[in-house]
Amino acid sequence: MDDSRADIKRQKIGWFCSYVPEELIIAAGLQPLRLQAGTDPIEKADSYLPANYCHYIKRILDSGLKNEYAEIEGMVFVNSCDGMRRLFDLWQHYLDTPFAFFLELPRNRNKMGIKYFAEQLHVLKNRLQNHFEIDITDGHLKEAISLMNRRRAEIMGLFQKQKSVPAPFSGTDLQGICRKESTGNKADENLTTALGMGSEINTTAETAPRVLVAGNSGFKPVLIRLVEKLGGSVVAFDTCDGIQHYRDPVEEDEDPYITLARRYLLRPSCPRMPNTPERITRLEHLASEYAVDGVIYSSIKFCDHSLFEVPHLEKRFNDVRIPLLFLENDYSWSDIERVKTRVEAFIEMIAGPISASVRTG
Amino acid sequence: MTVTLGIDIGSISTKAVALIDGRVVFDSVRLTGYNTKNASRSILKDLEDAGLDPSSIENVVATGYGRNSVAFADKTITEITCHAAGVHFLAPDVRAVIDIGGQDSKAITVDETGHVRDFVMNDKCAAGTGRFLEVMARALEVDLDDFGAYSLASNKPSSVNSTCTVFAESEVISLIAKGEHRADIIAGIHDSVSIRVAAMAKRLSFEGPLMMTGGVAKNIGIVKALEGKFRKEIAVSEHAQLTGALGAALLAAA
Amino acid sequence: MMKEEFQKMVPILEQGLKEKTRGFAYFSHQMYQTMLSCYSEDTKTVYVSGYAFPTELLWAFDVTPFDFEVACNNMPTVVNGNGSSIMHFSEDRGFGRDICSFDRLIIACMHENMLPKGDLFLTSSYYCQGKSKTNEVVARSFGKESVVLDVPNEISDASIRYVSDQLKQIALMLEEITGDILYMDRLRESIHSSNRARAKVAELNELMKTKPCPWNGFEACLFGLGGAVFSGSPVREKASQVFLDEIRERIEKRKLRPEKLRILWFPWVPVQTTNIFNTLRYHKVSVVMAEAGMAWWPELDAEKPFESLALKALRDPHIGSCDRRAENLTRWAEEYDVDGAIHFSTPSCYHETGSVKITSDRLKEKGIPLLDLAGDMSDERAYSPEQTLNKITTFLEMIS
Repeated sequence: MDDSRADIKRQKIGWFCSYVPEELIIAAGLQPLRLQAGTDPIEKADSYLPANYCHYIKRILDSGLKNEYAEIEGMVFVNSCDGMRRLFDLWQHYLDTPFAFFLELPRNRNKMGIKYFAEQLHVLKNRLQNHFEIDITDGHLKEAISLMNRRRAEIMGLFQKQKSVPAPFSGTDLQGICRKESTGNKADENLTTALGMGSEINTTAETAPRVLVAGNSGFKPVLIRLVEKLGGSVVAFDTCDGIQHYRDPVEEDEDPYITLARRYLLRPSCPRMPNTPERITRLEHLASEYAVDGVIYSSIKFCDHSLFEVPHLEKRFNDVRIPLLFLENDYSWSDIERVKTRVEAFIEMIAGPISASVRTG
Repeated sequence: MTVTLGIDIGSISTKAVALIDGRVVFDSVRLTGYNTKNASRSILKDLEDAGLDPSSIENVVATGYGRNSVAFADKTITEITCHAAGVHFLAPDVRAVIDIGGQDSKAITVDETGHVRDFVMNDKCAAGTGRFLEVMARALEVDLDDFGAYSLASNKPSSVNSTCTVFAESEVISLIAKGEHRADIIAGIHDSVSIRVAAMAKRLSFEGPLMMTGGVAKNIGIVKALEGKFRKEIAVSEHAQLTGALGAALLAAA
Repeated sequence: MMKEEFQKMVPILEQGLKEKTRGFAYFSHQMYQTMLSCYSEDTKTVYVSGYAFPTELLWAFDVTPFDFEVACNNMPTVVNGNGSSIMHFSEDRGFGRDICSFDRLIIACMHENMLPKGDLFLTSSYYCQGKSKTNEVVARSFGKESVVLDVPNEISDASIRYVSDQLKQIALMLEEITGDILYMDRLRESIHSSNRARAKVAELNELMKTKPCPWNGFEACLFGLGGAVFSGSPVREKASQVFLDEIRERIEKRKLRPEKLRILWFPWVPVQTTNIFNTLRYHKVSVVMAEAGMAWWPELDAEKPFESLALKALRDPHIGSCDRRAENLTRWAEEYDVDGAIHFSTPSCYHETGSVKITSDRLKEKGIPLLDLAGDMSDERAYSPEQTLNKITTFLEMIS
């Protein structure tokens, strides 16, 4: 990256949805940052959004209204769902982030959709160039793509290792690594060494039931930590901050806007996209690849897209006899006691007959 | 001679069962009250009063909402697993259990060894639970223990549509104002609860006998309403309320 | 079972419903006849949500549209406040109650084999996400894929091209199922027809400014929602004309209901018969404008058919920034000289409930009070008549 970019001083651009191409932000000399929302009680957002609303969205708004994002120079919102569209509208209306962009995300995962998405990425590039007064060349973008591909490969390498029995990392540790990756400075070469090297600690008991966590609530460590505290071993997680996010590199040989559009649109989808059967089959394959004893699928309450997915999910996993626990959460897991009972009962259930189980008191 | 103790600390009541070599030698039910630690300690006192030496107990399993506050428990196991084990002891043929507790309701399928095959719990608010019935009892000024008898006297259950506890309370109040009979209103309330619980239970696939456990199983009106939804008889043990504690005591011996 | 319900409705409508206008009787009759015909073997049935798709394209072919939202939610069982007796068929299969009641109802009907066989399943990404998910579930149950018209929230050359390209692809699919080709003349005529109907609806909208208001805004809303699927067909033109003649007649003969207050109602009217309508009537409140009854869609250019249909989709008020919509609503509220506005929402309508704050602030700036009525479109279990009555009465007292 050339020196003129140093002026930008690594300003942060926040993103909430895993469909935001971080490469473009890096190419602009900026730092992409996956944004979390606060977990304190919602105070201000209740005047803007009703009780029945995704708490992730509500909390982001609440954090915004409380000025918790003051250090962030800009945000990229995505058309992930109806709620997110309105979050952007409210943000534009009532909040003052210097740079706020709404990225259209096609539902057609074909040539037409890729073409339109690539055009949108150009629009984002132009807006970034105008706002930050910099040039984003194809060269910058290709470098950023290469960097991100390396990061992805490193993380996927760690997930691959989890296929061993027992898995070398605890789910909590692995999620921590992913969190560091999505909130840290990706250009920092030291990130490579920080990522999991030398932390191959086997903290999970040999007989602990292997669990795959999926859904759209992974950002907070609460669920994975809870499962492991209650005696499960979370060997993998296919959430927006897990396998779904890191799998599949961006092709490095063609027009970078097209390859970016293609990779992001065609990568393992989230329930926001059509084609439920594809996702369910994928989850089933993951469950057997990682040789899990059970799957815990958790979605944020009021997430329409997940709710439409769940009946098919439950039916398929019932048919193939893989135990599945569906849990709703409110992002901050304020009802942790209620959740604890369900998770604990699930682990007891998949651990096998009572007489043979070795439980950590 | 193995002596084990199972304690089930629920949101409303605390239950305990002691077993000696697989035989029930002691049981107790008391209100949990505000302090779950006190509740568990008073169980020890009840044991002594019954002539059993607490120090002779080899293994204690605690279950229920307050299970983590039982200082002297050797292990904690969820009430789902305990109810399955308890039902297996009481009625080994039973393959499905419904428990309507104070603050949640559950359906559990059980295999032939008393192990949990699958389970589902209510995810919404109070509407399918004991708490809902309490609120309605207050609105009707009827003792909750009389709910069952009242509803059996009804020929024409009222229509209680709301599934939000607060809405339902408004609805019941307006039914009272319209002059509908208490018996009919209560039957309507039971209908409403049983629809929700049955809908939840039907998410599990099961065949064979069905049993109801937990405190609300004492309410004959609910049992009958549920029988209507499942179109089969539902077994209720006289020890329904103790099922969780019983299961805990059994698992303590395992 | 749904077919039987429709068969029952048709003769009732032929007699004309006393409360409703001749226009509504004609339109409902056409609607039910159309839905009924979808059950016959010879019909090429295309599933589509009329209010959220440029249906002019369909009327250029010999296909019959089936709007599952309108069909399922107009069944007498639902209208009479017993929708949950059908909804549980989907709820029991795991479709949670946080899903919109409309969608739960449709999926329940699907499970009970009440829906007609479809040859093509069209939906759009607007106005709501639940609808397109539901279309996917329903299409799959018939062994077919759901075809989504993906409409972005921004209007640019790129988005117009994206949408019109998709429409062209859909035209190819329609050619395939009909074994016929798209005649551009037919498409142009369909667009002209839509424009003519639009002009009549615009005139009706003007007439609503009369004091006292000559027409019940609820009816205008239902016609707007249910009649949208007929945009491009002579049915909409004729129905609009019947309404127009009747309303003009009422004004001429001063056959108008006494009016104390005028309100704007948005976005939609609950399907289940609630006590709202009677309460408003009793208090001599005229619903002078219900959003869905407005001619909000643009005039279409028949010489650029795909582009103008794409623009129709892109200009839908429920997508894009809700500022645009809030401004429209405020402007209409002023033009219609309303005393207040009532917003009726259903719980899972996130694009709607998320926009109320902005709309209400705009209205407040112009001194127009707003009542935010949370209810449910078709699930009687989530709707409290007592609470609703309370809120409306209080609001009316407040704005009197």
